[in-house]
Amino acid sequence: MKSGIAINQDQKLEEEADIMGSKAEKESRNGETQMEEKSKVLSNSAINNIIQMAAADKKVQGKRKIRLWEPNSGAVAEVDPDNTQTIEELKRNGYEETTKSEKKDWVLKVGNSYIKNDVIVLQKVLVKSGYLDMPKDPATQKRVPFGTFGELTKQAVMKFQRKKGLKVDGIVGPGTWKALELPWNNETNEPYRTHHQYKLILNNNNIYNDENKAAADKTSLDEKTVIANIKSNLYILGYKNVYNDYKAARDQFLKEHFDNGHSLHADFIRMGNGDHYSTVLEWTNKALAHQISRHGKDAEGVEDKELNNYIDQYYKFALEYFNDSQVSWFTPYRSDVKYVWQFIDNNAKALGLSEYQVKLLKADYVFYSECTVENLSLMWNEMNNPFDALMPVRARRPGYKALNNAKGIRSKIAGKIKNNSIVKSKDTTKISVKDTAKATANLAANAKNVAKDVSKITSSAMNMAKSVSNVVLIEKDASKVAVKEAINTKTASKEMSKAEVNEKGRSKNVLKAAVNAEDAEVNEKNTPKNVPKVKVNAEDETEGTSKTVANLGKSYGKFGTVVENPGVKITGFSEHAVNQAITRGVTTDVIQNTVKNPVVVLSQRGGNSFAYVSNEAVVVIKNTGEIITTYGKSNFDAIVQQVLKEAIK
Amino acid sequence: MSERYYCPLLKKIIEEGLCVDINYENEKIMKEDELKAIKKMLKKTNAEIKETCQNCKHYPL
Repeated sequence: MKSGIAINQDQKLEEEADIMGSKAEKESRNGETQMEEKSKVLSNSAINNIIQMAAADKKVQGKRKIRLWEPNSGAVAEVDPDNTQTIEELKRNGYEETTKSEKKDWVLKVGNSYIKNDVIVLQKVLVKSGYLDMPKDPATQKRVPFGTFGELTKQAVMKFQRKKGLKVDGIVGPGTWKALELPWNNETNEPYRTHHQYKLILNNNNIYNDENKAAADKTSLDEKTVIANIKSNLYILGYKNVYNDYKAARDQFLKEHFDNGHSLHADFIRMGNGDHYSTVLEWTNKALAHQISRHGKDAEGVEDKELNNYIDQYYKFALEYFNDSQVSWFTPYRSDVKYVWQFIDNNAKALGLSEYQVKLLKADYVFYSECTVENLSLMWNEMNNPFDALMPVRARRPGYKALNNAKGIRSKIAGKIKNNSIVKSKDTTKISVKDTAKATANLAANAKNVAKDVSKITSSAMNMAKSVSNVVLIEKDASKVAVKEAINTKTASKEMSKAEVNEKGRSKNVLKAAVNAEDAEVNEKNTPKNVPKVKVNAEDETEGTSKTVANLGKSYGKFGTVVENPGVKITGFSEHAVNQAITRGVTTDVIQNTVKNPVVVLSQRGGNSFAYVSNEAVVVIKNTGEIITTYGKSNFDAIVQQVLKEAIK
Repeated sequence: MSERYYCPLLKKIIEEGLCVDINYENEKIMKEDELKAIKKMLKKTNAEIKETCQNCKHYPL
């Protein structure tokens, strides 16, 4: 017996049956693109957070309502008893009042049109598994639409039951349904129709085309290019091992992005979609877009006024649609939207959503046909176009104009987002590919024989070990200095005085530089304030201290102003610095020597970072000690050479 | 941690190290390397790239 259905689920079913009934007839609908763009706007985790928190809150809100159901579709709606207008409207649309006890146990069998979507899902799975072949209409040569449980379906079910050792009666009850590994809702004792797996199967319109599609893709797509793009995407996404172990990186990516939460990946594989590579590429593209959207505030504020404008318009249409008094016939829908909007507003800050992300999310929620919190995730993750699903239903309702306008503007938003993220991500991918290729080429060029390679690797490892031990030593040194400073206040005072003298000197030099150099930067004028005080102690004097350079105080434009060595200690490398060190062939020894014994040091960004210059390398290091990029001498251009030349005059 | 921010030139989040590279190369401090690929990819000249960088809130370096 049916034990009860959540308000949202039933309301969703009402819509779902209507929408999906028309969807099933459209064999070649291609609604993937817009949904794909939509899902790029917010990260999956943000959406999932909304869903989970909202769903949890919502459970507390249930109250007794009048139950109506539409016998053909099985759709159920629960309405407030006071809302007679809605009840009448639903009855005009074929709904009948019912009670839970009147409903029969769920089964699918010949002549039973209990819920059409269940039959569609069943038939699609049977076709996929090879038990059923839907007949073709002799006149049109098109296959008979899914949705009718006839003799052929019964025979297919019996075949399946026989193979699985079940009771062979051609009737699909809970046992057969579960044996087909289809989602089952133990609470309602019916198929789990809101489950994404159910939806995926229901919406898969390529049941017969998969094989052809896969074959066509194999010929039309350059598989190597697709894999190369996947690798590049994964590399940018931080899976740096992708070039060494593609499979491990890919699986790690899929696990982190999909298995964690809703197992979409697992379900997708289960669906047996033949185009695996394209799918993974698509997911990685999405993940890249999410990466961009996480920083959407910058993207919106810097130059995307056009996108913001579109979102504003879209949001306006959503308000128009939502506030249309005639739309209020559907009370559960309105309360759902209000609830979710409130929820989004309350949690926007915690979820890190920007103003425009919030607007987009809210408007999308209004226009999504299955307006329930738990289905919001499906909207973002399944590759359907919500508008295609929505139009047949909503077009019959007031507010159609706003909806139609919204469709147009949403396409523009999707296009804009695509331009901003995906296309450019692909472009920048090329850089990464190039970098990697370059790094590989450099390695190949440098390593003339295997033995040399091995010795290089060994020396690299030793250098790394040295680096680590140096860092430890540096930390020890720092502790020593701190202790010394704490004990010997006189020394500390001296150091302060020295530092003050140095600062005065630098002030003079910087002023001089400002007069001499036409392009002296405004921020460099602040250098004396921000440059860390020079630490002078017995240990530091042996290395890493300043040497008098001829061009002290001179500004070299963007390269910075020559200052005394501030004695910054290396505390780490940024990812970019490591990559560039490898690509440019700058060894850790050279980096350390450059920072310890620079020919000249230039202050940048008001002492926020420094360029340490030696004859072998330039190391750009933050005042916190993190190296952000490095260059070998082969990269030096005119200005570096000029700086070096003028420093030793 | 090195800074990461949105680059209006590359239209993506980058590490500040890459920003430094691009600007060093465009300022003739370092020989063109990254910049070559970027110019080719974006079909932009050094002047156009400089203009974009100069209008960025993270400029000057």
